[in-house]
Amino acid sequence: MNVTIKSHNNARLNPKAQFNVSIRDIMNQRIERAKNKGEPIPAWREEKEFLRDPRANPVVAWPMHLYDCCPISDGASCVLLVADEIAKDFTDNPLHVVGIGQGSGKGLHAKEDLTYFEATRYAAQEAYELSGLKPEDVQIAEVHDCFSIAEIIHIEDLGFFKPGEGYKAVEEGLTRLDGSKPINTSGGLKCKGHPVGATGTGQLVEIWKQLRGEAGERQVPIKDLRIGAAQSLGGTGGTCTLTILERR
Amino acid sequence: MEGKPFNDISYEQFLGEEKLMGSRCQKCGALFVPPRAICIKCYGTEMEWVEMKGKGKLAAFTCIAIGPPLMIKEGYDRKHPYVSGVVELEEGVRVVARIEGVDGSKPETIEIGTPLQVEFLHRGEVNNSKTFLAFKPL
Repeated sequence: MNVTIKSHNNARLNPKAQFNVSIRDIMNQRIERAKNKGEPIPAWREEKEFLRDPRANPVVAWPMHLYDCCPISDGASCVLLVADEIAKDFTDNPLHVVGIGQGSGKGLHAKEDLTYFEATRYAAQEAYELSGLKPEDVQIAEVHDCFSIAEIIHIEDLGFFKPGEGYKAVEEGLTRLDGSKPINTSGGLKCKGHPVGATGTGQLVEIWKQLRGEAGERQVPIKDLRIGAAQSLGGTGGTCTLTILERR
Repeated sequence: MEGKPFNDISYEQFLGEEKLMGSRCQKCGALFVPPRAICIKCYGTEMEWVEMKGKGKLAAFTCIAIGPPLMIKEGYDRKHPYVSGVVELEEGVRVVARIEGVDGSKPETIEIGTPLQVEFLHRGEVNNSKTFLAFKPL
């Protein structure tokens, strides 16, 4: 629930998000609608009460509820990748790809352990080695939150938080826009949307905007923001990638 | 059996014959269900067919309330979710299967570790039939 509330709060500040409303906005709209229609007024006082109510947040595939699942969206994104030597021909303020990694893992059924993605861990190791950076050097990240639990698993697999402690980090607000490690500032797949083929580069576009200070209302307040990363996934975790961008 | 390629089509054909089959690497002994043609442990390519006993226990599950058209046709809906799970076979490998004989509308009554027995669900017409792998509590 904390991931969902956080992602909606971010998407509210992203005009290009499919759901650019907070959970509180949705909750208040529904209360308003019930009032106007003369229906019984729901007694939700805060977001979590709304999310716990099966009438507001029905089961899709237990234990996953509606607001745990990303939509399948229409959308497009693009990235212009050129050699360092000619980058200045296109922009005065380019970013550099300093690390990239890709890992493969077993299908969901064949995994010995369902609490991590070995493909994310491998991709992360590769990207960190290539860049000479550590997880703590990455200041912001977009991760593949196809479902809310996936965000928690990925922030552990990327080494941002210890295994089993990702949920606490989210609960304590560390992954919010104003936290020490903002995650999915765009709203993530959950709220920005998941136009499957455009999702991976879409994540890089968000990191591009943040590192260049062009993210508008959702710009993270980190001083000297230089390093961001995007982690993506395919085939229920069979393939994962991590791309690390740096502003020099 | 010897000539069948180690792929999903063969796997599904065997399911139609009420056989749960996997492939075993003749070099390192690793077992794969559904079968793989190449061993992901030692990259060996000499595989052999092995039939599973069809017993296992529930390793993970979900109760699906919003299903695809195929399942809606079978009568599953928001009020009657179906259960899909990961079953750990006695042979030590895990497979995805439908879980029958449990109440998908009461996930709290379904327990991880429940001993299960294989069941083959035949669907469709004679010339256009498909068999789905399922397990039910012993």
